[in-house]
Amino acid sequence: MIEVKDLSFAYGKGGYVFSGFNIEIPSKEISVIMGPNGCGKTTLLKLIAGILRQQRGRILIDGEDPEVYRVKGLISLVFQDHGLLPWMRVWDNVALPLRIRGFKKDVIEKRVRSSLERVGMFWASQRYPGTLSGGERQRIALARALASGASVLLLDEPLASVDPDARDDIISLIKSIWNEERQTVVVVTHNPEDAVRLGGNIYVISGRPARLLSTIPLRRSNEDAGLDMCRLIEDIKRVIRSGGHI
Amino acid sequence: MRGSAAQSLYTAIWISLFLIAWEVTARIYSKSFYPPPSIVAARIYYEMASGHIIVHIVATLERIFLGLGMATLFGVSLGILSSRRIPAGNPFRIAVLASYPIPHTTLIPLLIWFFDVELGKMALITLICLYPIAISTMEWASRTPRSYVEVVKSMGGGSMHILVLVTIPSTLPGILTGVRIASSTAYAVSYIAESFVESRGLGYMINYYWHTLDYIGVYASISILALLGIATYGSLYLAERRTLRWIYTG
Repeated sequence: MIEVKDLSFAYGKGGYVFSGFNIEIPSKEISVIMGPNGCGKTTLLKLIAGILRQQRGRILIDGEDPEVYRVKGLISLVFQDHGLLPWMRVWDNVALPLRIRGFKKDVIEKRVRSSLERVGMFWASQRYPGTLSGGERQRIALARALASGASVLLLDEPLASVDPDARDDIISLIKSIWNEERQTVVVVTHNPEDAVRLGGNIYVISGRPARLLSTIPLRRSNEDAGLDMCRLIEDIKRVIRSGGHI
Repeated sequence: MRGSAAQSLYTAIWISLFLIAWEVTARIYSKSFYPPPSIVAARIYYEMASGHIIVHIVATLERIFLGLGMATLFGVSLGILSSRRIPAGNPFRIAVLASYPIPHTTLIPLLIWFFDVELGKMALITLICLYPIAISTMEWASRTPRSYVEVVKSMGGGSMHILVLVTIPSTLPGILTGVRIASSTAYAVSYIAESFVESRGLGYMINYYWHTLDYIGVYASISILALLGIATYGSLYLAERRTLRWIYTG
C-alpha cells in the first residue's frame, strides 16, 4: 500500500500544494488520481517517486521510504512528456534504468528486447524519439517502465499527448501490462473519461492546497461490467465542481 | 537537385566569381602589393612542392590544435562548473564573466614570462579560445531541462549519472558551437602569437615576407592560413552534424 499521511509540500516560497493531505492507495491494483490541471497530481507522483521531498508528513510504500524504492529502481515514473532522452536511440532509452543499476549486458539485451516486443515497438529500436509520434513515444516509455522491472508504476497523464486513435491502444496496453505483471499502478489524469476507462479506484483531488474530494471504488473493467460510464463521468465532474462528495 | 548539392553548387559559383573579380581587378590595377590569385596559387604550389612551407604549416597546426584541445578541456569543465546555481554566487561564473572583457592578447609578455616562449604562445591560444567554449557551455548547461534530470533521478541515478547522461549530452550542441567559433579565433590568434620571438609558423612567415617586401609570399601565407581555417571549421561543422544526429534527424 502507498500511504500518504499528513503531507505538506510547497515549491520554494510559493503557496502549499499539499497541506495535511492523506491518501491510501492499494498495492498491486490500478488506481487513478483524477483532478483538474494544476491541482498537484504530478507533484504527488514525484513525491511518491522520491524525486521531490515533502516538508512535512510521510509517504510509505509497503512500509518503506520512497527513497529506498527509488535507489533500488523498484519504482518507475513515466513522465507526461514521456521523459525519453532525445539524444539516445530508443534501445538506449529503454536500457537506461538497467544501465544505471549496473545490470549485465546480456540481461539488459534480453529485457530491452522483450519489453520493446511486448509494446510492439522493437522495429523502432534504432530510431531517435524525435522521429516518433506521441503514441509511439508513450509505448516506448511504457517499455522502459516494463524493462526496469519496477514493482510500482507511476504514469503521469499517459494519454495527454496521444492522438485520439491511439488512446484505446494505450489504455489496453496499460491494462494488459498490469494483468501480466500485477504491479502497483498509479495513473494520473485530468480526464474523467480516461479515469473511468482505466478502471480501478478513482481518487478525485482538487483545490489549492489539494484535498481528496472523493474515492470512487470501481471494478477493474468498468466497460465490461456494464456500468453507465456517462453517468459516472458526470458524477466525477460534479464532485470536482462542488468540491464535495457524491 | 537536393538541397545540399544545390548549396555546394552556389558556394562554388560565389567563390569562382570572387576569384575572377580578384584576378581581373588585380590585372587592371597592376600593383605589386595586389597580386592576382593565379600568381598567388602558383607561389603556394611552389612552396608546397619545395617542402619549404610544410614545417611552418605543421608548427602552426600543432599550436592551434593543442591550444584548441586544451581550451576545449578547460572551457567545458569551467562552463559546467559555472552553470551551477549557488546562492552565494558561483565563483567560476564570476571569474569567467569578469575576465572575459580583458584584452587577452595584451597578456602575451606575461604568458611568455610564465610559460616560456613556445608554451606561452600555446597558452595564449588556449586562453582566448577558452572563452567562447566556456560561455557557450555555461549557457547551455544552465538550461539543461529539469525534466531530464528528474528522469535519471527517478531511476535511482546520482549526480555522476546526471552529469554523463543528461548535462553533457544536452550541452553538446553548445560545446560544439563554441569549439567551432573558437577554431576560427585560434587561427587569428596564432598569427599574433607567432609574430613574437619566433622562427617557425605561418604567422612568422607572413611577418617575414611583409618585412622583406615579398608581397606574393604574404598573400600565399595568408591564403594557406585561411584555407586551413576553412578546412578546420568545415570539418568541425561536419563532425557536429554527425554527433548531433538526433537533432538533425528529429
